[in-house]
Amino acid sequence: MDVRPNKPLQQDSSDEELMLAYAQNNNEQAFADLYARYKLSLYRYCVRMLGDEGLGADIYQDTWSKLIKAREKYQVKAKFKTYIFHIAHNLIIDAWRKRSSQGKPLNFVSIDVDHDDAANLELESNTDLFTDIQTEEQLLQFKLALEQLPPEQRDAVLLHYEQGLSLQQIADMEAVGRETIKSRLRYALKKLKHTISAMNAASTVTETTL
Amino acid sequence: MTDIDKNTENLDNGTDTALSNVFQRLNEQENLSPSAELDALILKQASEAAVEKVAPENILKSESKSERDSNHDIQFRRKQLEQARTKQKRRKSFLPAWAMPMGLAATVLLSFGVVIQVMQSPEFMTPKGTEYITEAQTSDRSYENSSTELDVSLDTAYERETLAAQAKSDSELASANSARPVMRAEAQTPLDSAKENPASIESQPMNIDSTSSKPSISDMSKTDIRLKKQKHEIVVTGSRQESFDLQAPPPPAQENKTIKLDDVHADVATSSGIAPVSSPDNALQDNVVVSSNNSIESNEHNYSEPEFAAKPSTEEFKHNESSIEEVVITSSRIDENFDINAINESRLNRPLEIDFVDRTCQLNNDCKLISAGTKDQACQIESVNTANYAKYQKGLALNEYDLEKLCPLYVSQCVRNYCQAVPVGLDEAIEE
Repeated sequence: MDVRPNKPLQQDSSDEELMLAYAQNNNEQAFADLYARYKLSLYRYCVRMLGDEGLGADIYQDTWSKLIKAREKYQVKAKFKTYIFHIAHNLIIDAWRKRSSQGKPLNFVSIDVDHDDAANLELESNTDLFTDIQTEEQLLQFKLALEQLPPEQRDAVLLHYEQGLSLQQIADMEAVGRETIKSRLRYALKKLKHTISAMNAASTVTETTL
Repeated sequence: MTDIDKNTENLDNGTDTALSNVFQRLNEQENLSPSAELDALILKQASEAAVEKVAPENILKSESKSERDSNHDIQFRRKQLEQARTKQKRRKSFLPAWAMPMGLAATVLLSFGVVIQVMQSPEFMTPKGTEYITEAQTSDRSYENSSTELDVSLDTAYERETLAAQAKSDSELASANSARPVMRAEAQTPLDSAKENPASIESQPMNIDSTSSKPSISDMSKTDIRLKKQKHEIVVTGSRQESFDLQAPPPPAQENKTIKLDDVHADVATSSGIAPVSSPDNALQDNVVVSSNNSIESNEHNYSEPEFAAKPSTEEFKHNESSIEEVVITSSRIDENFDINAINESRLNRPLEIDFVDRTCQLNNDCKLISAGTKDQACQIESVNTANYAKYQKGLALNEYDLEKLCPLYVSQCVRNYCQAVPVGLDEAIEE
């Protein structure tokens, strides 16, 4: 990756150039620019992964703190985006574990997967279903369905579909195979589809009853 | 074109775009963003971190008068320091570099030689406060007290005569100074006795030889050593009829080395209940006793450090009351084989805790254990959900996802110096 740390910073400077400018030259403006670029996406990721805005904000702050503390060790080995989301991902896992050990596990709903079915699972086209999500109510249903995904699946969905990380980048981040991430996404899409369909059916029944 | 569109590994381009749009709409609707205070806090932290690094470099660049003055002082002191260093270098340059260590070594050798010489001298061999008994006195004593056990043998008649004369003079002197017999013996040198008794002049060479010459190793090897019980003295009688009273060293005090765990890891010892694990195949490790007050007593020759495996207390690790029934395998290492099937059968879905030497790994859900170990202080546990365990045992292939997804997290707790728990499948934790 061609990154020149001493290059004059411009509006289109890459994330890696900004980070190096901050890490090596203590350029505060570079950090402010970097922060502005990632603050929303990182914050959403933390909150949606943990399902709790307060806890998500804590993890968000810890992520930036870790980045600041470890800035001198920063090396451009991968995209900055992968780097910072990797930090956040690890902190989120720690938070899960801490909650579990305290007897207060985060409220995740585990799914019962039919393995025989899953083994032959082919990706169905979900384009229509997700294209139809337009209204506020549909968006709320989607959000609820997303919250019901198991953590690993939710993680894969958020990193891939919302943050735009590739399967390989996510696999590298989580130290698993690319096929594993692919499998998680397939299960996640299937689960999302089922949940949203169930919600639609329930709302239809309610409307009919009324 | 979004990042997702660029990605050729997508599952389905249509779905990707649709979901991406859904997230965009959701974000617009939710408007999730960090608070202004949080923004300010993080930016301030970044700014302070940058300033802390820059600050030392800017000390000498300050422009105010007072700072300039202080800088002048600093420069002046630096000059003084440099001048002092230069002087030191000049002084050192008079001598070559090897002169100092050589001189030091020569001094040490010289003093060592002097010490050895002093130690070998007869004055040193007869330390003050001990009784030096001449041959004549020995004879005198043997005459006076038949029960004396001193072994005296005289070689020649000439010597016998000389000694008899000397004994006579000594006995006279003894009657005169009966109050201080020991002082007399100390004060009387062979030269004195020769002055008092000219008849013994001829025997002087022998006496001088017997008193001033150092007993050789061969002589010492022929000595008869008796231990005077009451005085704790060793009487050495040589073949030259010399007697030396050597002060015996005090009996060695019995010392017990007590290591208290409180001193080592007070917090860990008290809270986690560290217990030593003796390894039978370790020959160096012996006699480690754990007393009731958490102290480890060992004899002073036991230099081997007992190997500890930390057994966590239930307070630290238990999540509910059932954790008391946790299965604990003590001191199992990654390279040791332990029967996983037996463990799984005995567990009955209870929490599992494996106590390794370097850390304790815990599996506190209903997952079955497949393999366990530690690597770089991190727990490496492979597990499978109870529902899938039968399938696993039948040999049906469970892919990586199957293994992970139902037992994604385990609680690992390290009991020694540091804790960095790494879950299965995430061994690249970001280091601070």
